[in-house]
Amino acid sequence: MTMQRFRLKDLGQVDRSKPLRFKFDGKFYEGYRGDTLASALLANGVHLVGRSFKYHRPRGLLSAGAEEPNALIQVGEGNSTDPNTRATQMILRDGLTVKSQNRWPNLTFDLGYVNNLIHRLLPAGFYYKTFMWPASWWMRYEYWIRRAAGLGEAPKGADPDRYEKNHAHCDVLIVGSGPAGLSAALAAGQTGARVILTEEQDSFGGSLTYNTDCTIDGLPAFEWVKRTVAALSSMPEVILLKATVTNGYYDHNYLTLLESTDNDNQTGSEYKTRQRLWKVRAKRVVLATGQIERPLIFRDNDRPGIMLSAAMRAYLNRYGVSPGNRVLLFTNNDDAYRTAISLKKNNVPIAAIVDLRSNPDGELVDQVRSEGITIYPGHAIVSTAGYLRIKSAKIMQLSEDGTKLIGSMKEIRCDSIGMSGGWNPTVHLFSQSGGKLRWDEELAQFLPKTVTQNLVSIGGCDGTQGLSNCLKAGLKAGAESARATNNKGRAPRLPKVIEPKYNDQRTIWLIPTERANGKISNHFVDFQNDVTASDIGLAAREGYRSVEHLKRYTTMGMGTDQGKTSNVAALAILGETLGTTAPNIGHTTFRPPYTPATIGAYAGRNLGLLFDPVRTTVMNECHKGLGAKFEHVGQWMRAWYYPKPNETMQQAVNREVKAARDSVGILDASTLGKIDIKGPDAAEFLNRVYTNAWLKLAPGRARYGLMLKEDGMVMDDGVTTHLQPGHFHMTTTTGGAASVLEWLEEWHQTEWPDLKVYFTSVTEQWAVASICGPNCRKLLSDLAPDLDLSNEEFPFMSVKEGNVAGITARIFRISFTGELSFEINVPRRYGPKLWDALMQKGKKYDICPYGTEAMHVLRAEKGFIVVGQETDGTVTPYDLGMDWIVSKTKHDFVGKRALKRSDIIKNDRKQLVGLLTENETEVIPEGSQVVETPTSAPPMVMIGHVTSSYYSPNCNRSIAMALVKGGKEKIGQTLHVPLRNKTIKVTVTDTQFFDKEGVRLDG
Amino acid sequence: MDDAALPKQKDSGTSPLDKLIKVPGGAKDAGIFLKECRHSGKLILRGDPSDDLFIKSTSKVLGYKLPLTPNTFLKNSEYTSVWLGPNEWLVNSLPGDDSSLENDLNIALTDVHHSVTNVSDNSTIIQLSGPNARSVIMKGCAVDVHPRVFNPGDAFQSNLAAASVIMWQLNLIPTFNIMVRASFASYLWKWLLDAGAEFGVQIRL
Amino acid sequence: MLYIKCPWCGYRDDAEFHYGGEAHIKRPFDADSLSDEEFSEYLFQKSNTKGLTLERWVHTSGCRRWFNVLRNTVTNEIIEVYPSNQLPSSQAGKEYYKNNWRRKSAAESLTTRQVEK
Repeated sequence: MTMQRFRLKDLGQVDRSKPLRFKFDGKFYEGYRGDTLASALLANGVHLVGRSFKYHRPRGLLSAGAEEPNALIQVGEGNSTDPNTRATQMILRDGLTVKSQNRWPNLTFDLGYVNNLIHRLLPAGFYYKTFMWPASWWMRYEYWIRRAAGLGEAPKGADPDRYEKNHAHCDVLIVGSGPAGLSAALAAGQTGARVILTEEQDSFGGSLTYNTDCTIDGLPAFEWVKRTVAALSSMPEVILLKATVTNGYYDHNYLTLLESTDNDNQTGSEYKTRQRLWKVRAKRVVLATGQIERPLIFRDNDRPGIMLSAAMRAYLNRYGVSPGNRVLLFTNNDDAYRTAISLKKNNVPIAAIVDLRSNPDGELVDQVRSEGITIYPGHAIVSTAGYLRIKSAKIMQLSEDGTKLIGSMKEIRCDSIGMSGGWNPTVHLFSQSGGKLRWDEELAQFLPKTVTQNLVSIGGCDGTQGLSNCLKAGLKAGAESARATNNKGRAPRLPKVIEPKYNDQRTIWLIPTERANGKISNHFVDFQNDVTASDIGLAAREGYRSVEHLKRYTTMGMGTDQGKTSNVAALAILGETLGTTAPNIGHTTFRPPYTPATIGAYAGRNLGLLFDPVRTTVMNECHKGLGAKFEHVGQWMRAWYYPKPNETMQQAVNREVKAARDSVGILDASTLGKIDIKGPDAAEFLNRVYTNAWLKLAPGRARYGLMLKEDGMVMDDGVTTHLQPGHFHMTTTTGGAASVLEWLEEWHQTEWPDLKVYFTSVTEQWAVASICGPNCRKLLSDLAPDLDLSNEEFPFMSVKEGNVAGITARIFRISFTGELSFEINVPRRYGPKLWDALMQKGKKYDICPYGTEAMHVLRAEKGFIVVGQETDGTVTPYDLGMDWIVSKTKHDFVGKRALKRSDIIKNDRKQLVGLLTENETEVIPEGSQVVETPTSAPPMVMIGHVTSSYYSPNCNRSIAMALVKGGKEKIGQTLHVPLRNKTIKVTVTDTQFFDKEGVRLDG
Repeated sequence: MDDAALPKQKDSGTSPLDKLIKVPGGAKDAGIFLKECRHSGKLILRGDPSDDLFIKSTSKVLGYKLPLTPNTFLKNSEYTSVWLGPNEWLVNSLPGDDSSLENDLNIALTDVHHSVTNVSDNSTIIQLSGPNARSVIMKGCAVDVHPRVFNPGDAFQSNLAAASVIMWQLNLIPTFNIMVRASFASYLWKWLLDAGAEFGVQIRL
Repeated sequence: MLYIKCPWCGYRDDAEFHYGGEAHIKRPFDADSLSDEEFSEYLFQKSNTKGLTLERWVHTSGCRRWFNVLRNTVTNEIIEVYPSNQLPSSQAGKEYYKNNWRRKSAAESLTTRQVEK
């Protein structure tokens, strides 16, 4: 293990009593609790953390936060591994194993670096231009390109970690715990408001964790943070969430927060949660997301050791880590001076400050001067040297207008550079909320403009400068937001602040080059995607002038960092190239998530058995006992078929289908939708939603009905029974149970509220055993001796109440098989008892349980349709040959007028017909296309498709139904079903394949 | 199925969670407690509350006036009536009381347009209580159950995880009754066990 | 995700609701007297506006009531909600309703004629 050579004594907020061991690229290091992986690596002198995406250039830590483009690492091992994690956000924990990405064989010697040596051959759009031919080879090219330009690796197996979700509501959600966010939380919290404060880092305070040169009410800034956090913790309605990225801002103040709970504070538990996705509905949102420092764009500005000025201050003051042994600062504003003072205070040697401004002045500048630090005003870094770590920089003086270099070059030795190119307000969430941005010329920043949700932006993200101003904005926004959400209280008084004052910056987007030919090279704008200023120029020259085109052509801003440090500079450079300004270029769309998130966090606990509810009927155990195989029907698991030992599915289904027609079959029909309909206008209502007549259906009788949508297309079908005057029992398809009830309510509530009728779902109130076959009457009679089941007393399409096997039951004499059949409904709790009694008594008739597959064969033999199989929302009753069910005399029903539309009455619509194969044993695959004239290869003119197709043991041949163009007129003709290897010849028939006379219904 | 441990009424039939709840028990210092209210009576009552006769007639049978405030419920020792819609209520009763109540309501409402539908078997009630009950609900339900807005006497219909539920809060422990359709009950039960695992779960009869 | 205020149950996530398309499409009483073109205005033509729109929602996972919403399709701002048997009461809603092309459609004038009888 190596020593923490760059850890400074007694500085920062890490807990030195808690050393943590971790492994980076196979080597062990030590850090402390409170470190991020990034700070711990720097403490050990490790600046080189990754290779760039395209050129494989060695890269170091640029930042100390969410904006980090370079330090993307692979965390963990095996299936727990997580790629592309930003080292700056990775909370260090004991035993952590991480490795760098996008290098082979290793980080210091990476063969991919060859891309850098030939980088002039790899400009923006290179891959698009080069690998265009032949088109069919693109997949092959892509494989190798993606391999070369790799990010991390996704785990191969299931993620073993536990992820939770949590819904929360609050009055005020505050994003960001810097001075503005913290004071807003304090002001809102003390009114008693329900407040959630989120902080992306592992500790609250934002810039106050490292700006140690300020005092608030006489306290060092971080002491004030601690006191404020303690005050907030004591408020019962305030939720403090650190290590929590607010990563999405959606409609109506719905925000998602991703909380990382996997630090070593958590007590060990098998239910230990790694991350928790919060779904928050906030009455009001306060965005205090601060600002992100901008890099300066100069030649070779990407070498390890070059980082942002404020990040340097963060590593120093927050983590007690020195950035190096000789630090050069390069700036266009006062921030680097602030860093210089902090470095100096901790005895970190400073090489010089290179300032783009010709006459820097003000208190920070004066202080630096008085410390004896060299300042190069009006100068710029024009190039750097050093492969795996910065070694030196060359500087030159700038011309008055900043576009040229003058004078002689001077080389300055250094092992790290802190740079500051000004600040970008973090407007991502604001923009995601639907807010529009404006360009502020003076600050050279995009700032919030039009607000479309109940939110307020405060502090740095709103362009506010200075600690005092941020505190003031926070207190005001916190108090106002609390009041706006019906909480009472006044803002606390503004504390007394001592802070350094900043002077104006000098914005030069592109630092000129020292090269004689004037060509810029290796001026990196987007570090993660290796997009240089010259790539942007090239894109502009080639006509990619829209920012969205620029983004896609150069991949600028498309990485995991979404261009947090690069977008604004890229826009400005594009603007300069095109002779316009950033606001005229516009900006690309900000989309969630703000930082990459693990898929596991979105899956949460919806895994395995909890992925989707599995619904079973109350007879499920009975089916299992009979060895049933099950099939999914929506969320339902229905018994599919009941194989005997050594039986194939086809054999089992054949046996079941035969038994149902030869003696007795029994089916669990419990899943059918059931709706209880009551009221004096119930019949009138049915008359309006079904196509046929319902007013004269006598109590005790049942009728089959077809429901259409208003466009005339079949929507659902089922049998509805008049139980008692004004009381109906409707059945729907299994899949239509919920939608039909909603449909009935819709028509009742919105169109015919005057009709006196009520609907109640009773789908699961009843367990249903459907028995059919010539012996089913005898079987039922054995169990219900008191009932007269004769055709005279209990005719087809009627209902009886009575005792079956000691259970009060509703028995419907209806049939989906064409056989004599009874559907016995009992309260759900007695379902197994009914089933077992029928199976027991049925033994003497060789009762055979049949599943959904046999049910389908049985109904298809009779040409009965299944809605959703024979229909697909484009099929009318006429298309199905069901003209008989469409009333010609009713004044109105849903879909009536549409059935008269010219398109509906055309003869060449797809119509339902039967298909018989020439080879009787051949079963056509369902979904096959039907053609009139087959050719040896596609394309062929398709005139229809097969909707149902089975082997029918009762017909001793295969049967099929199909929707065929003008099918009714094609009956008797020969058509073809082309398959991959053969073509099946079929004859068109009607759809009745068995018992055409319908004599079996009465037994 | 071995369910001899369950104190059942004679021939009371199958309840949706019988297969899952065999042995009571679990963590002693549990954060949540779960049980199934087997076979409780459930009626869906529909009628027009602006019709005085409807309100009067139902009050006579129930012993109190139906709740007219959305998302609330009222109860006495026999019946709990939950507001489900502007003309719809759930009336929850003790096991076995549903048929007589159904009958009484129908008789009392003879001259009023109404409907009473017995849905005792259509769904079951899972009772969730304990100090972490609210946290468990928050894992799968987007309705705000914070005590500032949701208290004993309050009810709602919404989704809990992937199941559609009717929920009402009985007391300050807090205890929630969660009514769920029979075929979703085992899914929801497993979901509750999983969601409650980090707090410790005790299963009661 | 939208937060929709059901007129009865109050604010709920949009996952609890189903969308019902354009509101205030009156169903022609005697549709047989409409030409195919006139009927298709009722059946197929939807306003689909950018900006304010009147639309129907049903609180599927809650009280199962249908109601109407005045929403801005650009910002998703919801201006008002009201039961399905009522007309909008906000100024913007009234204007949108009044100026909607449908008020002059054949299908709707047929409904009006029927009501007048």
